[in-house]
Amino acid sequence: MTTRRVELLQGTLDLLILRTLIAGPSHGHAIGKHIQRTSENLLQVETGSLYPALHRLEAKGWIAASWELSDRGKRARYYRLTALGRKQFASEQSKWQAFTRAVGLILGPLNPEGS
Amino acid sequence: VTWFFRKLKWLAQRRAKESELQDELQFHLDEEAADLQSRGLSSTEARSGAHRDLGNLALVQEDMRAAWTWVWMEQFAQDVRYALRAMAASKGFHGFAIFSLALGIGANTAIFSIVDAVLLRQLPYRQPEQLAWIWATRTDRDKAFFSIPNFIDTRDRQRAFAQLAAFSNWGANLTGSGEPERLSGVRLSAGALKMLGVRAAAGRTLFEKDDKPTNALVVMFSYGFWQRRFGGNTKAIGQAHPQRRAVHCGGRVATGFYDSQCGDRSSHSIAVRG
Repeated sequence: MTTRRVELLQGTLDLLILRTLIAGPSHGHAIGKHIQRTSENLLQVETGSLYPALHRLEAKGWIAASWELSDRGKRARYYRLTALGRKQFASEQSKWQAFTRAVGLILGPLNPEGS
Repeated sequence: VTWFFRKLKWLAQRRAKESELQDELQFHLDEEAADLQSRGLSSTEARSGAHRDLGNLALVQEDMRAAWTWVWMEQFAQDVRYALRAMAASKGFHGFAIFSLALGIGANTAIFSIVDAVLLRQLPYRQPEQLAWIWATRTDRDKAFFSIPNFIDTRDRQRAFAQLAAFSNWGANLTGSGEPERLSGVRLSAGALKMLGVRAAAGRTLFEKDDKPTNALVVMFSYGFWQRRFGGNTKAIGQAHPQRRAVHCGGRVATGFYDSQCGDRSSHSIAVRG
């Protein structure tokens, strides 16, 4: 059973992390798994880029971290969205939607006759 | 700006944060291993699978740290350390290089100090742009000193300048109160200080009648000398010198006249006679 994998576009990881955290606080491993699962396994987040991204977002103040107990009862670093991060997500999301619409319009269904 | 303080805070708690990075990644490895184990892998297989997924642990930590620190700053510190090590390795060569640099910088500074004082900075006198230093000419040389009669003739007959004043180097021994001292200064014609716009901070400058050879010599001290030798005592001003009646302490020059020209060489004084 091999699934086709899609490479993450540069800069989209931040957006995906912010979106994942809208559902509530979560730790790094769960965030990665959630992105993978929700994208129907099309996207796999590299651990080596997930954690640096989380810390980058934390340094920017878009997310905040605290140590909590996980479902299994272990200490885990949980991330949650800050007010600033929520605002940032809204603007990033509309930017992304505008971008995908624009690319979609150009790539659109091929129609040599014109419409 | 808040991100700046967040970074500073992280730097301040660096050691604690370092172990947090480790703990966070360890938790990830444990979770991943548990995940894989629940899919039927043995515990050793699961653990190595988790490690494989994470990749280079040190590299990931480095990238996480990079989010918090100023990479350029750390790299600069590294470069400095490397440079110091390289210097320590060949002390002679680097010592010589540093010595050459120091010499070059020092020479440039010295030259510029002279250029600044001589060419760039204006003389601290009234209307410095109108000041000129003229020499007498003789058949055997272009730059000769004026004799006093020659000066008087030139002064009275020239029309190029508004005023003319004479000066020459002068030295004298100060005896009487306290240690004898060799003074060096300049002799001036009486009009010179007025022409330059120099006023006495205490006492008086020179009058026209001071130029008369029959009148007593008048000495003006620089401010620094007055402070050093007489402790700034106003009684020293206007006093006839006890040993040579001819010398008369006339006053002292305002700071900024002689002092700024020659540095505060406190032994400088100014004597006058016609």
